[in-house]
Amino acid sequence: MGILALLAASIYAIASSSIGASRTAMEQQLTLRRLDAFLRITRSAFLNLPSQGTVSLEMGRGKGGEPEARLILGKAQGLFGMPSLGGGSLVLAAKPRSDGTRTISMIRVPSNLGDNELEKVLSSPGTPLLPKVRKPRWSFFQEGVWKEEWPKGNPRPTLVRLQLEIDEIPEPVEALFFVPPVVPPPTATQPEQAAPSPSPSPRPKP
Amino acid sequence: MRNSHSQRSGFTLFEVLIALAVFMLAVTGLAVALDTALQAALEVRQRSFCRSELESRLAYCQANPPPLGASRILEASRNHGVRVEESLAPYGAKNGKGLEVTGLKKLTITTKSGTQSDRAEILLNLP
Repeated sequence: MGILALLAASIYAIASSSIGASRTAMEQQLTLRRLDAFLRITRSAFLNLPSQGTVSLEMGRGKGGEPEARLILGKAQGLFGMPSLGGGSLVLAAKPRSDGTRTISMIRVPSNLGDNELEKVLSSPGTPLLPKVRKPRWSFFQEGVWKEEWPKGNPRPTLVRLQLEIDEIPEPVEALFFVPPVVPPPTATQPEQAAPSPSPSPRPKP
Repeated sequence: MRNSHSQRSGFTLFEVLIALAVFMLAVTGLAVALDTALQAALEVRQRSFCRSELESRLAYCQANPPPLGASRILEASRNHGVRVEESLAPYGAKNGKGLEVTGLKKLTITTKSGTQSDRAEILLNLP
């Protein structure tokens, strides 16, 4: 009877530890997949930032009054799969959660909003992209120096860095995003010698 | 009645040994399966870190490329467990008219985390 009890106990211990380990591994893989998807679309958003698009960082207040970092991609069009924003902005905000972690959410802000409406939109939960994040921190690289602050009106940085921690991943995560420089359009010095456009639009004849 | 109580039925030593052997086989199989699953999960994690670091370094090198003809190495102990090696070399190419295109450089980046590694090569125009 004792041997049978020992065998049953060992089987139970082995089975429960196997299930626990598998569950941990699956949760970690899910987190990695989610992080990978988030980094991919964020990287794509920076790479596809239109020439008039701006980048800035501001500290706002969430619904509970907690500070939250907001990365603002201004005058953004076609980012995150949104074909048109009408000159509005996309905001990546680190929204606080009840368990002490944060969720990086995307908020779509239309242009020409009043202060009250803007605050209402910014305090909304938005579309959650990456949950259970700790200590998210944005920094900006310009002329060889990393800066923690990047207020509105600054030129586009060369690089944007995101550092964060996730419970399921033991090492801190650090991702760099390249922001393509704004190239001024070529100036036509001799308009009379300018080459014709490659595909001229046909004009309707009167 | 007394005779039936005194004659106790039980397992022979051989039966117990057979049962233990079967049990050990099952436990060993379970342990091997668990180890394989955990190893696969670890490899997926390392591969994901390699790829993520590779994309980050590609972004960084576009803003701050390594010196021409030399390697720039980041050791794993100082870079979140991912070793990075970057190098920049001149790249010869000709345009449609057969003329040499100047300023082209080949950037090679290799990342390694544990047993997994990843590599990318892109051309940069650095006049």
